[in-house]
Amino acid sequence: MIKFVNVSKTYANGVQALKDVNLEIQDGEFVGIIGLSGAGKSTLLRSINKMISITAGELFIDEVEISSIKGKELRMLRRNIGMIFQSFNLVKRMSVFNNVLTGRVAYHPTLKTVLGLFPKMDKLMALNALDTMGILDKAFTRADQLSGGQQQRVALARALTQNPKVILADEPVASLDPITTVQVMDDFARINKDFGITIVANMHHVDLAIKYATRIIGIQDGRVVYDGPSRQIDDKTLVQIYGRSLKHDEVLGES
Amino acid sequence: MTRAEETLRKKPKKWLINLVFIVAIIAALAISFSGSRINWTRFETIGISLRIMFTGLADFKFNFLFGTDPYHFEEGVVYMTLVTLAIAFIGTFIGAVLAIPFGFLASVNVVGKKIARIGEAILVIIRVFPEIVLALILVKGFGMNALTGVLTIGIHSIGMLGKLFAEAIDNMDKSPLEALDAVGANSWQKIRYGIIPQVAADISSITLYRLDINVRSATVLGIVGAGGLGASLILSAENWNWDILGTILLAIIVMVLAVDAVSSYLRGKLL
Ligand SMILES: Nc1ncnc2c1ncn2[C@@H]1O[C@H](COP(=O)(O)OP(=O)(O)OP(=O)(O)O)[C@@H](O)[C@H]1O
Ligand SMILES: [Mg+2]
Repeated sequence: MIKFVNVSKTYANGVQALKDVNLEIQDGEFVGIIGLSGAGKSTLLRSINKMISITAGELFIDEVEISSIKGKELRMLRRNIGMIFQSFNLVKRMSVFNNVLTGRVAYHPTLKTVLGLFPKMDKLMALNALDTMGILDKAFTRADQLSGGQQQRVALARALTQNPKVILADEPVASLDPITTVQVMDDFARINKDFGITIVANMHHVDLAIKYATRIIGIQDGRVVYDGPSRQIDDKTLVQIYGRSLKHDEVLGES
Repeated sequence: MTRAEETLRKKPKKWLINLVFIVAIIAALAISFSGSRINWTRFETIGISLRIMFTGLADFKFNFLFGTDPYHFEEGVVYMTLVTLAIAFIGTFIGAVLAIPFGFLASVNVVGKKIARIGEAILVIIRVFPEIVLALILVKGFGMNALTGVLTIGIHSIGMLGKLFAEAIDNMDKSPLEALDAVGANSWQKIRYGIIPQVAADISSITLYRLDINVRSATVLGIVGAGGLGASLILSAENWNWDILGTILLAIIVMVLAVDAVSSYLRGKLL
């Protein structure tokens, strides 16, 4: 469970990106976060694995308050949380297999991992994750030889290999074409259903968010202005989130 | 007046600045020549010297080349060439290994701006120290032998290699480091899985390029006694042994061309 209690974030330059956020995300949920550019979506998402530190309030992951943890404890927190990025963030000159295997580094002593000595179990986990994502045949090719959609699947396999309870995704399909987008979103849905992994995803495409997420959190200027089931989203709530009504093509993400 | 004409009129007048530069350069040349006391009479005999030199150079001494009777193998050019190559190779290797930590130390990506500036300063100090001066100092400590050559090349290479390594590290894609942070990796793991795979090819390529340079250096360093071909080169030149000098020159040309070709080929394969 992820719980925000009166969370605020003020960046060093004075920008207040989160304002008194209160949220509770239960295990197994698929949450879509929507809002205008600059609303604070990435800040919200990245505070969950402390890639960004909040400046006020409390943030609990499974009852543990994380704003004071650091060092080894922080790394132990992060290894249970997968993260997906808009630009995949793979090491392009490294094989797909090794990229996926990096999901295991926080489970072993530094020396062993630096020498590349992963247990057979881990290697099988990595390959199984690639199989789950349908790209097992690409295991030993270099990551830069894959298409964008395939690279995002490698990133998902890396996250799965962490054996996470939660996967955070910061605009996971923003650099993919419409058809690949649907395939990758289907992958998220499958991971959510089959493994019960909580998914929290920032999305620019409102229709995608509504279609895949079961719950939508709408953010405007650092505040949560909508929080409810995705099927209850209507034009009025979109006005609330985006400040004006969206045209048909904007909802479809074709703007 | 059209706008084009008006703009043309406003064209900056560079000719005055150019004139000042030309005059300054001519003056500097004149001062240099008068100060250097070049012995112009030497030009009258240079034709004779060159003729002796070239006929001698064309006259290879095969027993000197391979170190057969009356020479020992260790006096032969083939052996000395191998020594020169070995000095360059080991020196480059030591330099590259030592340059890696210096490269990290001078990389903003790894240690941040402040420490990187210190790392960079150390590398600059190593770089500005002329190689031949370093050799002259090390000869006093380690004697006239190959070890001196290896150390000179090793230490001197750190300066340029470290800087280029740091550049490679700073130019790489930083996004995998973010992903590694997110999986809970520590700094060593980030270096191993985020940085090394990205820069290994660049580092190898830069090192091969440096090997190329160091083979030439190793030859010249022999002149100050740091082992290898250079010692015989300077000795034979001083004694007007043109046939021996010619044989050595042949060996140097073959060696430099061969290393150049191999290193270019390998670098092509890497990228
Ligand atoms: N590192 C930072 N330092 C200072 N201000 C920041 C930083 N990161 C983000 N901000 C500011 O915080 C606010 C929220 O940014 P955030 O990246 O969370 O928005 P977002 O909703 O993810 O936007 P987008 O849809 O464009 O990704 C913005 O005003 C942004 O300029
Ligand atoms: Mg964002």
